[in-house]
Amino acid sequence: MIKQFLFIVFLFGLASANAQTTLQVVSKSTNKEFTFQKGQTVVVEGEKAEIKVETWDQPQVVVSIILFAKNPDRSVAENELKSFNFTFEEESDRILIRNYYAGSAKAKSELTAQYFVKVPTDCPVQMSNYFGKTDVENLSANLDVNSQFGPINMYNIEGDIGIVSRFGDIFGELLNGNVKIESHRSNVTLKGLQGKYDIKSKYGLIKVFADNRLIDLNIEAEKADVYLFNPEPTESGYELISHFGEITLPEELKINFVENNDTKRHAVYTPGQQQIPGVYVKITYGDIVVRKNPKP
Amino acid sequence: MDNEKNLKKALKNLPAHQAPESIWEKINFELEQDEADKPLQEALKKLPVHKAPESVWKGLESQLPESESQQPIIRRLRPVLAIAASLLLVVGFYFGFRQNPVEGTEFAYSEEVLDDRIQINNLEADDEAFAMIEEICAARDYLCNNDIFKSLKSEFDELNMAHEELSSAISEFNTNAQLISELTSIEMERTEVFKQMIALL
Repeated sequence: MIKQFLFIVFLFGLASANAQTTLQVVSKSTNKEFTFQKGQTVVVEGEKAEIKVETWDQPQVVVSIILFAKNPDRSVAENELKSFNFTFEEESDRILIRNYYAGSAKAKSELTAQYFVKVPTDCPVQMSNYFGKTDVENLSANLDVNSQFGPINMYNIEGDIGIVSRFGDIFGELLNGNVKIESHRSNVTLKGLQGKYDIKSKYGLIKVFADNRLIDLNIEAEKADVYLFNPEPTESGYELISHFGEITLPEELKINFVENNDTKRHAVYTPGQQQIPGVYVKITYGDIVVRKNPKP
Repeated sequence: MDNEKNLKKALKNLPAHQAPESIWEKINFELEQDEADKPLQEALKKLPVHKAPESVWKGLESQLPESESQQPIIRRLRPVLAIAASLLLVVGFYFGFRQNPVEGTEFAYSEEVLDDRIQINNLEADDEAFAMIEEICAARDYLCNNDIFKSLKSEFDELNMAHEELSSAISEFNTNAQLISELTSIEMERTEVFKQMIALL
């Protein structure tokens, strides 16, 4: 009886194991090194790519790329990998790294790319990525990212930062500089901010965790909710405007409502001392929420 | 005699190995890397072919310590040996370049199990229901001809375009969970907008 039972269990296990599809993964990889010249920008153009940019204390730009083709049929993956390529171009003002698919028809395989780029700390970086993930860490130079359908993660960046995102969430921590963000149907989360921020957003949730190191925060949003978290909310200056939305404030923030009706709410708060940092939020069809959060 | 027996026995007991299919496939694939090899093959084609004059062979021959028995064999095998040496050179060049081509490209093989939970086929799109909007607006355009509806329709169209764009980028064997998550989110948003539009009709 036990034997029969075990046999049945074995058959079930076999059946479930057979139901799985095994992908044959074929990959090609390369490493490339460039000597960074002042005035050059590293430009990374990825497609279905996971791009990770880090800095190091050497004057070289080092790139590692792996391209993958995955298909249950290995010969299909192999053939399509032939049309899935990367290129490098070095010019006086830029080092271009990109991947592309040159097949005549849509690939049957899952084609993905992985970039790992190491740049000198002061090397400007410009990236575009479609249907992929972008990570940048520890950069002390200008950063531009244009991403669609993929998240952008930034950590410890100092410099002029320009981010454009469509259908991809933005996460930034320890950013310092002039930061411009344009997001469309993307959630934006920013923590540990210093410097000046200009955020334009349409459809999405914006969460800003700020403290008194923030100099200026301007948010203009449409059909978006804005949450501002601050351990000392009364130490900031505010101008908050919401069309067709609500403004919610912590109890200790005694704000003055210039206008407060169903179609428009306009609140202004100036702390006793200097008006630094200043927070300006203007939204249409969305709520503004200011909350006191514990000190990190 | 015993030694001979032992040797034969040992030879019989030697295990026989057959190279796995994947090895041959890999070799075949690497040989098929026409694109990467084109410059090399072109360069090889352009290499001049020189035939050594007979005097060179005679000179070499005269310097060789030859025995009566070996001389005819070497002479017979000379063209074969020459071809073999040339082939070895070409193969050596070929694999030398293959292992370290211009871009230093390396190939690797592995397997992974497809995650059924993140496949696009498992998502149900309400395209038929969505098409209903177009039909209603075409039949009774006065219902759709107001600012609120137009604004929702514009949002709906944008979401449809994004849905199409993302769907076409997701392969039949998707391994990126984030893309499916984004597609689901677009699907939910457009369903929400669709409901608002229907409420206005």
